[in-house]
Amino acid sequence: MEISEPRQINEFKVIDDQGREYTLAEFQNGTETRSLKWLTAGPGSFELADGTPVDKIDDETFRIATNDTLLHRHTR
Amino acid sequence: MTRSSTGTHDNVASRPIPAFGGSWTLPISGMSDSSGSSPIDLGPKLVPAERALGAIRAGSRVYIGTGCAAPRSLLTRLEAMEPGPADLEFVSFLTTSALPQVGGAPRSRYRHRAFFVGSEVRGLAGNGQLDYVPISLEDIPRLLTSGRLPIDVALLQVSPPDARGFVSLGVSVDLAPAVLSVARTVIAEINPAMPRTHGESFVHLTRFDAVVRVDSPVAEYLHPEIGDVAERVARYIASIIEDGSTLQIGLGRVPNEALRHLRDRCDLGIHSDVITDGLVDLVEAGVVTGRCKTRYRDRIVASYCLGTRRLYDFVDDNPGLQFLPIDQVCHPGEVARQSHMVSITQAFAIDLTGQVCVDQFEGEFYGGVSTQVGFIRGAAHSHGGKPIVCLSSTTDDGASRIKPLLEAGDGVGIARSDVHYVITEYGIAYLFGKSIRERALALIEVAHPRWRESLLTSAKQLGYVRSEQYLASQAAYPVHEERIVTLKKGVKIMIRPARAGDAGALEALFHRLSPDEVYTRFFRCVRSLTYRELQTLCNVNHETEVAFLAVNGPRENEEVVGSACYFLSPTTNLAEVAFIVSPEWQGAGVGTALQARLQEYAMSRGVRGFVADILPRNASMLRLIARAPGIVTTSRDENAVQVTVLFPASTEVQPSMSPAASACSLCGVAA
Repeated sequence: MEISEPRQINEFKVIDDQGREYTLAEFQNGTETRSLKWLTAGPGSFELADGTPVDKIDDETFRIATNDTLLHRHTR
Repeated sequence: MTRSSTGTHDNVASRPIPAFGGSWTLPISGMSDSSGSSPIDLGPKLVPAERALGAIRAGSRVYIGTGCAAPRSLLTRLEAMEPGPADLEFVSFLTTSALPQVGGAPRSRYRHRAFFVGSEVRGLAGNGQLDYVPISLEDIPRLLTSGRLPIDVALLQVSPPDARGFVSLGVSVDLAPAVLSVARTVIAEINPAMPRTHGESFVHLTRFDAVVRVDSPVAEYLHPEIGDVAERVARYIASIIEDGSTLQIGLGRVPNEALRHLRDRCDLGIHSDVITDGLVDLVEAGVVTGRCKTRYRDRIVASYCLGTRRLYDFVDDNPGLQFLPIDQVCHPGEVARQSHMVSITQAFAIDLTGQVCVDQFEGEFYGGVSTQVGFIRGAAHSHGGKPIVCLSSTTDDGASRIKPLLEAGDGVGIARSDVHYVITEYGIAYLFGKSIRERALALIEVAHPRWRESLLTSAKQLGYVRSEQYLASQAAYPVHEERIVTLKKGVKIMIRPARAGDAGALEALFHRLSPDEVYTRFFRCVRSLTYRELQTLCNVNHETEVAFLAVNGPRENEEVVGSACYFLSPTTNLAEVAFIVSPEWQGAGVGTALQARLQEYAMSRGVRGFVADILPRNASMLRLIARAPGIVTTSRDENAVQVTVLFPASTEVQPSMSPAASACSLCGVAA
């Protein structure tokens, strides 16, 4: 196993209080097994599609770091 | 049959043949004096050979009957005539022991125009006496009847006449009907040993200008013994011939050897340009019945035969066989009308794009175009048909017959677009509809292991494959590891080792997965797999990296429905394992079958056990692993469940899985 650069491990939709929808990507350090499974290690980080950093508050709530906009996981 | 003046030369018109005088009689057919049959009066047509041959004028073009039906006696006398007619040109499809021998080598004082360069005429090329005509045999009748190749004299060997005056063309019908329709003069040896074959074999005595009686055995032809390599190729060929198939075998030694490996099949049919002794065994064993043929049901169709007296006795007066003109047998349209038509062509070489060299190799002409193109195209259009090209992977001196490029002096007889199956002693490659990259990879995988790396290097230099392409294994594809598996509802699939060329099929499998299924397999969201990642999952060394695929459907059109792989840790002797099952096949038992096969394979190599990381929500995979034979332990961190399976000592793993039937166990398809 080799420790690699953080990889995007997930992607999901979030909405702000005005109903605007964003795509949030989750990145995490980890190791790739020989069978190509990505075993994560440590906390993840989040970004909008344009690279804007996003902080995680809890599993359902996030905040855009640059303007404090709250984002909520979009559940359909 | 009526004579036609089409295509004859006025300036080389043959002389009339004077009657011998007196009345000669021949017994009917078998000509056995003890048969009790009444003799038929051949009248003035029966003449001594010298008198018959005296009708041949200088400059004539003389057709010689094919193969074992060559009129050997007439040819010997013609070659010996002093002075003989000058500047004759012999035209033949194939001769075997037809020419007089001098010092153990065939010798002729005339020029030969041949449609097939057999061993007998090959030696004439050095003296400038041989003109090879590359042409598909089914086109020759049109060549003759159009007048583009006029025939002045035909020399044939036929059976004795029946009570109505019909002789049989015997073991070689092939081009004779077309020749008889255009030849100005027809002279035949009447040989009591010539079988009377059925089909379009009968010609009335009135068509002959002269007949000569001979009493000699019909020439026999034996295929030389084949070695171990050819034997392995033959076994692969046999492995993809299904019950009910109709076969064209051709003259090659390997295809004929394949017949020996078909004795466990049912209801095979024969629709072939040529038949040989191997057929007799299959008929006597009840394997060849013709019951499933969609044309000439219950009948064996051929145009000529080459073999021993045993074969000739088999075809003699046998209504189960139909000997037909070559253009009727080999026309691609006719071939295509047979269901499950299998044609087998032996090649000299093939390049990495699939161009096949069949009639010229390293500058020398051997064999010919013959019927290969017609049968290959016909079989390709036949329902369930299989056009097969076979060759040994190396020449006798060890050079690879699979080449990056055909070289100057290697003639292309079969276009790359017509090639479907290619079989060597290292397996089966399927090329039809494949890209150049896929073809190159598939062919490299059936090349001799010692040539694979250099072929891959050449393929990269030519731009046929990606620069990052590698071959994890130099060993032969382990075809003996293929298994036919019966799933829960009786559905049969094959579980076979993966190979480098499976990357495309794996990619298709990947894209059938839902995003959640991708996540549970790779533990992250993945939109597409890179080429390197795909290669990781299929281009394995079969030792420390192992991958199996579950495939459904015919070999030439198989669908990958599941994938399993393991990667062995040399320090723990435990293998990390992972699976993918296509969504539409989940719940059918594919995962269980893959797991069992992977475990069977691992245990046979002394692997201690499996380890797997599984997402807690992946219940089906957790159940699958928990059912694995052995001691199962689990632990869990915040992300995944780590499962370890320590194998039991017993090797009994999966009773529902059996090695593919002896034939099928050899069926590896590189695609």
